[in-house]
Amino acid sequence: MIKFANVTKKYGGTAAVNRVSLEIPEQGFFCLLGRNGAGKTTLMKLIAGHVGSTDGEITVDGKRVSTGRMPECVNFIESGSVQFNMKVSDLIATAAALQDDFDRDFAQEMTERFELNTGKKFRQLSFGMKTMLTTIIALSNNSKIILLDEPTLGFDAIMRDQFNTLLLESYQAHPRVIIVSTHLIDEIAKIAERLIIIDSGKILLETAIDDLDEKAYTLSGSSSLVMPLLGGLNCIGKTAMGSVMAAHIYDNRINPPAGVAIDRLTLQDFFINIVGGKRNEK
Amino acid sequence: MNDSQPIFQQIIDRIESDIITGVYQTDGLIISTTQISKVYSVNPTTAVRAIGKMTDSGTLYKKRGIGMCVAEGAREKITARRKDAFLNQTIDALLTEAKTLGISVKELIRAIKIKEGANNHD
Repeated sequence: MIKFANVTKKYGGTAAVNRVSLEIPEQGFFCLLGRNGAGKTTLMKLIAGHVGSTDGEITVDGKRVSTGRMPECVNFIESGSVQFNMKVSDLIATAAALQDDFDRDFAQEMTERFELNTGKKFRQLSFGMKTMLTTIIALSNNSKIILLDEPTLGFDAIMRDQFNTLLLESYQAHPRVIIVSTHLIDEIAKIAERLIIIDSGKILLETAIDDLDEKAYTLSGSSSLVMPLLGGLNCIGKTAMGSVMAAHIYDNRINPPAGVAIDRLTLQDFFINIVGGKRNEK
Repeated sequence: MNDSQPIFQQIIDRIESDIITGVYQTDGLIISTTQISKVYSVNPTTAVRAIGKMTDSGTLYKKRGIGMCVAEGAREKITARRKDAFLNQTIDALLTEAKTLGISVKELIRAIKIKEGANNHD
């Protein structure tokens, strides 16, 4: 469905996306994680054809993407994106008129659930409500590929929870490609299926989130007990305090000996170790 | 959910406990994956994985168009496996901790008998 073949995008002399090869063969709910400036937004813009690649080829549905040929099946929502300053109800009606398979029922249900005042004009809405409306319209469009760049930025905890529920329900009702970038890692970990980690313009990891449930863990205890276990394991980070250490592992689970505790790593801690760890090696 | 076991394993443990205690009967419908992900606030794919593992092991089977049900003999199998784990691992852990604390096996057995007597009077 989406394919990157050795894609580079440079801004000036800096590569925001650096020789990336990535394939998303079928529908899935992806979360895209990376530090600020890691290349998340550029990756999304490349898929949408909002920017052109400096080198390499991007195809969506087998067709080559460029700024001159933006794929119609892709809907890219930036955080803080704006709509015409019309009433909410008119914006939804316009979107429905432009798109044959617009899901009016879904749009209606969601505007009610999130208590969007349909009589208000776009500019009268709060920041969070603007994003909510734009996303509801995008999800109702039934586009095959939806890219959401930090959609929950500036949301309070309850809005984020509602928004994530909206995303999950929409995905379950209409499976397609949804890619969400966010810094609120453990919240997205509860709903997304797959994980893409990008760092310094390169893809560090692409895997099923569920895979980490078993494979991302910490072994902690006396260094003399923990160290010998690390030989055959992929250790992504270590913290030592005197004679006690904690080793973060991304590998098959082991049954630790007495005196060594095993704990699951949260996705956030996994991310910090795998990205931070790589940085320290340089 | 606690931190030591993978989440899918903890879901399996809870459903198995509910089968042993009779919350779910043989051929009875169990909680759906959507309900699991909502109730325990876990990723839906993790819930699907837990149920998949229980189906592979023969604990559950699929009733078409209805949902997942408890297989014949599942309760006995789970009970036997847990009994075995209790007699081995749990008692091992008990003995190790008792040794660390300087409690003799004799004292331990006496403490168990006193507890049992007290509980039976309840």
